[in-house]
Amino acid sequence: MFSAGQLMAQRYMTRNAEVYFLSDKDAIEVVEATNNQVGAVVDLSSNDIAFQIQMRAFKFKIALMEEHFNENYVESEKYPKATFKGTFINLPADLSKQHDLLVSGVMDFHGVQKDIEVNVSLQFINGELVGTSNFVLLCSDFGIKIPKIVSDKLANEIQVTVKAALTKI
Amino acid sequence: MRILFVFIFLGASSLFAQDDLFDLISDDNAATEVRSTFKGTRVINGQSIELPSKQTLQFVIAHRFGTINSGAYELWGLDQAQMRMSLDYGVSDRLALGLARNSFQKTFEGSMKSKLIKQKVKNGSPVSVSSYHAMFLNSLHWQNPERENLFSSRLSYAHQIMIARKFNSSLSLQITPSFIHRNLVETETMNNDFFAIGYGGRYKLSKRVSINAEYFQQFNRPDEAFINSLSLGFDIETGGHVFQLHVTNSQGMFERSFIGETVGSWPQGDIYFGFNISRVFAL
Repeated sequence: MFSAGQLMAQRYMTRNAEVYFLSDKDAIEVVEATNNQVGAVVDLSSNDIAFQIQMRAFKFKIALMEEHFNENYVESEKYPKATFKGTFINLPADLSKQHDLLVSGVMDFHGVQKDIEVNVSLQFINGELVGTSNFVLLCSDFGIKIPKIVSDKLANEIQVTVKAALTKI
Repeated sequence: MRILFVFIFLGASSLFAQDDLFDLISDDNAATEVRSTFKGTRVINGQSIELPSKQTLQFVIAHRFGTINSGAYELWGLDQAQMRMSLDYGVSDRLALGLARNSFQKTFEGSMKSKLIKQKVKNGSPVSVSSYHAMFLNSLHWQNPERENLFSSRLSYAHQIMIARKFNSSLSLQITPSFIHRNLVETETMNNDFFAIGYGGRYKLSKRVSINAEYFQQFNRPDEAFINSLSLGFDIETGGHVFQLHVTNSQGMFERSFIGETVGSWPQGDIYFGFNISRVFAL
């Protein structure tokens, strides 16, 4: 029981992590959206990290873009959520200062599972475990087709920014 | 034995720890709204449950040509078009206001559409419900000199409740109880009010193309020989536009006209080809 309690004590989570993405191929009409209802959990005892993203919760400035994102690109009815499950490599014991760490894991998005590695900066701020990450995903890696007619507006490379402040559970 | 027990227990708990990371953050039971039941704010002629998005202005230009059986002289109807222009503004997620002008009887139109209930993916309403209220003003020169030219005689109204369910990403069906009131009818025996029920649906053939159908059944119209409206068409979406191409036995494009004043007969080929083109502007 003691060891189980200790495991629990090492877990941090939030339901309000933020995922932002940007496709800025066309300077006139930037495609960007934010989702701040993302679930994230980190287990410092097992070095595991997991994210769950409800695709419908991405908010765009232009409603029609949001509709097309859900209907035509990520197909959020067929694939309602994206998940990432990974492990911190070389997680230090002391996180009172900012550390740039590597996370290796599996991204499950649009029905495609892909191994990815991302850089994460992580540190404790006022008792919260705060992490940020920037990485690039390719639409083509996840079976998302960009029709020729919009290929001058939509980039295959999607810049993703993740911010999370996790509290102890 | 005790060591073994502890070992099993630890093993089980660490397995558990692996699996339930997702359980901790899972919100599968969250009630999320179903979107995009229809591509457009109209199924074909009739209103769908969809509203223009909040703070967007939707401009729709629609044409119904003459009957296809009018022959080569009229270029199968293309020489005789009826036109409708409309502007609909999404005041909020649940309210839209519209203005329109129809070339048929030079009719002006003001409308209000509300989204009352939103279908949820789970743990919520199985259907979406919207209401539509429109007032039509016939602005033709007064054509009946024996009757007093009252402004109120030019007005008619439509009230509709749209109830739709998106069964899956392809199939959506809608039922539309409708009530039409006319301040003035041609003869004393005609009812000023009548009811109708619309049945409509769409089936997506691909991400950007759907096939649509719509039928309006009229009730309590004993002294009027009007035909029920039947329309078939396609929705084609390209970026900011939705093109709707269809064939219908109704030439009118506003509710009183296509629900209550359809004269075309499908078996006789009195079919009108038409289109709606919509463009949205984010304001």
